[in-house]
Amino acid sequence: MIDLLDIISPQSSAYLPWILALLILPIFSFATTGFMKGKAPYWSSAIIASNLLVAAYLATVFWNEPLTIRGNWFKLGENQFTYSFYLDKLALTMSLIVNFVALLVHIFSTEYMRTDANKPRYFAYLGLFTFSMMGIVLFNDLLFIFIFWELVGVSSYLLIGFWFQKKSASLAANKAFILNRIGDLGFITGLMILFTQFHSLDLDAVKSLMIMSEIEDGNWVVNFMQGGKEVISSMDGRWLSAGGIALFCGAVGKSAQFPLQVWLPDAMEGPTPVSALIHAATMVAAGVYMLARIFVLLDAQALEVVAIVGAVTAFMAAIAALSQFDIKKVLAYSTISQLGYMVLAMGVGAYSAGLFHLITHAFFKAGLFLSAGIIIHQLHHLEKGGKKFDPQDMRVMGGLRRKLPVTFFAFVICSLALAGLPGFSGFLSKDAILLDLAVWADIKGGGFYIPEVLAFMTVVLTAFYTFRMIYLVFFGEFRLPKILGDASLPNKLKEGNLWVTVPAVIFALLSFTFPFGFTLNADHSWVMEALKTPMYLVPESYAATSLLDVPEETFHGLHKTVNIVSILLALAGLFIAWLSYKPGAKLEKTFIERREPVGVLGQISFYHWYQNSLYQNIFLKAILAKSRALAWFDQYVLDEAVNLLAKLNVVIAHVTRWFDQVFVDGLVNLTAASVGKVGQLTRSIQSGNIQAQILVTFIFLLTLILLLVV
Amino acid sequence: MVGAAMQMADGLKEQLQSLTEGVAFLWPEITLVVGLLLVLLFDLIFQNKKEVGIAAISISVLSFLLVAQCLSFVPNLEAKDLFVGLITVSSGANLFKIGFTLTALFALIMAAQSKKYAQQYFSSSEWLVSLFGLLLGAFLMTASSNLLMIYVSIEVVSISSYLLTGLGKGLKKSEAALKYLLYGAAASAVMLYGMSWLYGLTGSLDINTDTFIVGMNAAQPFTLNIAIFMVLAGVLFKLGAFPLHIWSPDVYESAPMPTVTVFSIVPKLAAVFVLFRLISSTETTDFNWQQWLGILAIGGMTIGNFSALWQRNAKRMLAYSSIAHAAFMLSGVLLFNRAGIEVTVFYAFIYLIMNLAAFYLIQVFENATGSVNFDSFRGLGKTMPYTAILLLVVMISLTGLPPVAGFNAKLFLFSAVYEGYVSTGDQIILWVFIFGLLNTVVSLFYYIRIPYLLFFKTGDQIITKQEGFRWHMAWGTFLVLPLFLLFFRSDWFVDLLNSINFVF
Repeated sequence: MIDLLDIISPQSSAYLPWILALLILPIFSFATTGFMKGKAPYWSSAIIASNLLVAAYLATVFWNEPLTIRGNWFKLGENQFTYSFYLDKLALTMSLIVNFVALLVHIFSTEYMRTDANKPRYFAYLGLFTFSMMGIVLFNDLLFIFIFWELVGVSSYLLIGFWFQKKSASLAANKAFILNRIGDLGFITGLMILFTQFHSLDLDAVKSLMIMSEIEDGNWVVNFMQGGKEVISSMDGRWLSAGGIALFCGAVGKSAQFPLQVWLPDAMEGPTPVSALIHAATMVAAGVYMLARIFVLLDAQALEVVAIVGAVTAFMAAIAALSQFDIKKVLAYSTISQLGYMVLAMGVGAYSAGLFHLITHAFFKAGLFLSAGIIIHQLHHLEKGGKKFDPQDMRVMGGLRRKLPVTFFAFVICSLALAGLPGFSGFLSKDAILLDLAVWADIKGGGFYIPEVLAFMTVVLTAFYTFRMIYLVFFGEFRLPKILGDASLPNKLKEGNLWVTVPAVIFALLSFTFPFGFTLNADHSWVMEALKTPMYLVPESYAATSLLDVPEETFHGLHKTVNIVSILLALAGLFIAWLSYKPGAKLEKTFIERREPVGVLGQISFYHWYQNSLYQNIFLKAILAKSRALAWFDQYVLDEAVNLLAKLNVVIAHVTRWFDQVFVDGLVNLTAASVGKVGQLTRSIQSGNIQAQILVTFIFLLTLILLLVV
Repeated sequence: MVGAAMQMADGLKEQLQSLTEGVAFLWPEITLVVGLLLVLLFDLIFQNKKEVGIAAISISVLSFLLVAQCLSFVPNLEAKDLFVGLITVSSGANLFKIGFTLTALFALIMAAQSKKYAQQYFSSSEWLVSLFGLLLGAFLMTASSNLLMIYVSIEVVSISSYLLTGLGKGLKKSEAALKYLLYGAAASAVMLYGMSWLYGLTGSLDINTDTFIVGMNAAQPFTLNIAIFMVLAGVLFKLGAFPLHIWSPDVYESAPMPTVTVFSIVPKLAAVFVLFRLISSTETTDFNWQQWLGILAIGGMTIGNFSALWQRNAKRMLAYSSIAHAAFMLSGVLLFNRAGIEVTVFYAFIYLIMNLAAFYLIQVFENATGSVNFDSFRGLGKTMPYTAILLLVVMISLTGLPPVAGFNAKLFLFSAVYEGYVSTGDQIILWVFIFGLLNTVVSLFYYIRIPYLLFFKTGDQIITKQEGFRWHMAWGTFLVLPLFLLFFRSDWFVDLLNSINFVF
């Protein structure tokens, strides 16, 4: 029988300092950047650049041979806690992406935050974020992943609330933090279930023991040795599903899935480069990354939940993105929708496709956010010395294609990738997901076609809101001069400088297909080759049907159909957008006067299915009512009881004081008085007369002799 | 005839040999005598400004003695009879001698630090000769195993003590010395009379010989009881124990502080040692030691503690306190088992440290105010906070409360007494135990009075100057620190005691 302590026995490597460097460099940046004043952007950018180099070096060394490092942390009773690092292709890819996006965002922010007084603090927070994110990526121990998971939450909170002077920003930071906490409650529950069963949170140990566990009479049983003692862990089989779903809750919070996704649109209160780094490319993807890490531990039921949540999220967010005025809100809902795709992919077992979409999305969505950032930044310059307006509102934009050509280029390329049109990265990854989804729905049948239908409808919607955005921002007339009545404004608007345009363009270039392989078939991409879908490790009777077991022919048969349908649907979305929002179209003309969308569907879309109102009017009210009831109980029942007890005490105290004064003190005084009397008696021997003294002594001696001898 | 003569000659030869061998073992006593002579000669040769020289000679002789004794200390030395059974050297005696030397050395340091006493002590040789004489007597007391030797050594201590009390100007001193002398003479007379009875009963003065022990066992109980009790009286006089304690308050009050420090420690501990020796050679007789000592202990601690309650003078208070402590030591002695010996020695040494510290610190206050009356302590806690806190610690230790070693001493003592009661079932031991506990409570009243006056009362004299660093603080800390140390790590000293081979 296998011994748990053997699985988690320490493993060392000469590369430990390099891995630690990946963690230490960003936290060093966090610790020092705050003191750098004006030099802060360059200092922190240089540190992140060197971190990227370290990540690249490690990637070249360990790409083909994964590295495991493990050491003992502490021991609690019989249970050995360890720390462990695991560098496989997934971790290496993620660390490259995180550092790469972080570097470009640092560069972009150098210009974007140039005039902000608290710039050093901003760059310090970015360092903290990178550190936390690297922790999630590098550690192979669920406990450490959880610790860094929380640190990521903290840095996200700090960055959303960076402009905390704005009430809305601090509220948004609170909201993000609290909703993430709700998800983390699930995460920690999952950890407890796994620890109860396996006595370790090391992923290697959990996986090894998961292989050995069996379902016996509906019980989830695992038998192993721990330090020479035999351990038989057994619990109801439903805990296996529950554990998977509980861990998924963590991802629901962090990756903004239904029903906790409402924090992400509000999180756009943070600086736009932060939105690009954290709320598009990396942090929100951490949930998907975590799902990939625990993918093999999920059983069929948990995976179904994951798939359904993903599909619902993707569809709901796509609907919400249709009618927003704020450009960042559109991108935020789009991000939620795309994350829904990734989660859906994980749920159907399309591990490689989901991670592929994570990577492509990281680039094109970061590109979109940075481009939007340039627009906002350049429009913001127009506010100087003039009237105030909201530079994020698409109603003030229009026709920017001529003024901001580079931004237009970057934005359109990234949009095409988002819409999933051939030749762009999004096409490859989205098609891979849709293909696996179609196969999965065919296997499952029945109601499981609904996620497929939702996912395909989302394709139309994505293309529609993407091109609606492009038409409203870059085509037609520049609407701002008309609104403010200032004709000189168009001449003042300029393209952003190289600090901001270069990162955007780099992301745009990475949104083409070619960085991922010169192919239109996702299966031929190197990413799909590198990140192979693993086999499920849960007991057979609970495991989902793995897509690896499906014959190749099934995929080939569906491939063309799915390809063609998705391209047609995307084009349909594009066409509808052109019809409704091309310059001079009816919707485009009235757009500027609208306060909010008309009609029931428009309202549902604009208010994101009234989810916020639901929370605020029902859940929040219920919680407040409950807390008021508890406060009442506390004040009128508990406090009263305590007060009564206190009064009773005072009464008893009076009685005891009387007793104390009369009897106890009396006794003490009596003792003192009698002791004193005895003292006077004994002292009286001591007269000054020597003859008397000697006499007394002899009397004593004789008395004693008489007493004892006679 | 020739054979007898030869035998005698052989016996004489052996005796001579034993004498010459014995001299080597007496090096501490010889050192003392040499020191005494040096001081005397220095005083005779030089005319003016003799203080520094006399102080240097005496302090360096005692320091040398202390260091040499510590270095040559062997815990498990076999007891050795010297000078035809007059003297027995043992490890226990050596340990006590170290304690005596330490006390005497500290008394000299105290004298040197005090303006008032430095002049008296070091301007002529009288004081130091008496002090060295006292020390020599005490050394010999721990070594005596012969009734004659015991008597002589006790007398050496006594006569030195009378001199130390009476030297210097002052009517009160002379009166105290005279009273002391008369009282001591009476006690000596009783002891000597008792000794002559013992000699009459056994035909031997050497208490370690078989003849002595056989004779004692054969004696009629009534006669034996009275004889031993009379000898005991002399020892009790030196111990300052009930009922021969009456001299001590007057003597303590009028003698200078360094002298009182020596009085309160050296003769007492030497007497305890003599008592051990007397008990060990009369253990098997009909004399009921437990009964006698039990009553003496109960009487001593009661009288000492209760009388101390009414004192208004720190020195008198400490005199009564030392009567009580002597009684506590007696309750350890009366157990006469190994545990009893160890707790008594432990108690004796903690008492030594506590008393040194108490007298030293009170002298510091005396130097500041010129008086040792309780009223003069009022409010000094504010102007001399550090010294006052040190004194508080010492008083807590004297009472026997944690966290100081006085607590361990009392704890070990009472545990041993209770165990003694459990194992023998002797009622008197139980009574000693009960009285000991009650008296400990009583002692809190008067010990804590000085700190109470220091911290909670305001004084008449206004000393505005805050206390800066003084050397006495260092010395005081040096004395108080072992009290803490031995509280937390009392096992260090207990281990040492365990390794010592106590043979009397």
